[in-house]
Amino acid sequence: MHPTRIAQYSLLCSLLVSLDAIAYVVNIGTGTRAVYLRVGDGIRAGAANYAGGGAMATGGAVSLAQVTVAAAAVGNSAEQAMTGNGRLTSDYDDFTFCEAGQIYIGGFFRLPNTANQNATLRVNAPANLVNATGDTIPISQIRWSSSGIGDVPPHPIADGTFTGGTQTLATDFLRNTWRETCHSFVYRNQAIVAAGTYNARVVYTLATP
Amino acid sequence: MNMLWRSILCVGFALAGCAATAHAQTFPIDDSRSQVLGGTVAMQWQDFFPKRHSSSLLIGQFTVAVHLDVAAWQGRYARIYQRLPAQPNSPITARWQSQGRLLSGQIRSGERSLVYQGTIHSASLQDTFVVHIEADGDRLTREQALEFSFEIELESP
Repeated sequence: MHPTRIAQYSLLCSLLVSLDAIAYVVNIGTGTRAVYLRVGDGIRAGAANYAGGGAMATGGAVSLAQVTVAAAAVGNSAEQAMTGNGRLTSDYDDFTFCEAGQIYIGGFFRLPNTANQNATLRVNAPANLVNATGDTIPISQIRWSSSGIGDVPPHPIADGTFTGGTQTLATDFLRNTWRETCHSFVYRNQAIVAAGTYNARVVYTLATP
Repeated sequence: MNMLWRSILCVGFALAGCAATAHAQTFPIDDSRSQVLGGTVAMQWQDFFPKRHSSSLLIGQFTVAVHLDVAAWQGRYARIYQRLPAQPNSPITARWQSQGRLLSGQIRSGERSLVYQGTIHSASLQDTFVVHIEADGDRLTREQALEFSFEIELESP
């Protein structure tokens, strides 16, 4: 091939490659990670619910589930329904999701990810409820059932019983999805115990991958 | 004639050849003078609070000063398109609002959209686009570079 022809081809090729590479380039980032859990009352910033543009907040009173057992019924194994005092509405849309006396539990986590990764909900409970004089009732005397108004099983958290220590309640809090349920707590009343007010505090944790 | 002048002449012939055989052909447009304002676009969840069924739409916005060098096609009737290549990780939708010199529009990754149709009367076309980006947060797992380009189609005489 003639040398001039070789030069012509190579110049033309470089011209076309240069034109093909023209573009303006924009880099886009990923979504931010976030995790949210409300157990019981909770609070939010402002009046608007989250579907209406409201914002999260941290705080609120620790909700209480309680029952008073009549003296004649103590230890007779007749289960005693406990009454919770938290708000009954979902902060997502203010829908009344819980029945009176139930405790609301709901949350989500945000994660940009292609895998179907889940967050895990755990609860940590002491071994016993304790009264002022040190008498105890095993925490396993308290169980719960899950439901939600308008919701159908399976619920995000299955029915269960406190065992003391850390126990896993759900391993399927799917990313980018709102999960919520309501708990009805029950005192199983299987043992005769000394009179008094017995307390225990349980702590829920939503752990993300 | 030395080799340098021969080479320059060859490039000139090549460009002339492009213009002469442009019927129904597409040519990339030099937009190297376009300027994106700002850095990496921070994508936000459209609904920070997800719905009860998974919701993961990410949205973001940037502004670009578009400068298209169309000197080679002055006097020609043409269509100009903006193109966004296919994004293997996450499909992208871009909607832009122009200032009027070019057309507003939208594209999905892998497609192109008309931004100009008519006779080209000047050496350059300039406008400012405010571009809104949508992406699937379940699939956009790392920073991604979007390469917008422009191409011109000349009307057959």
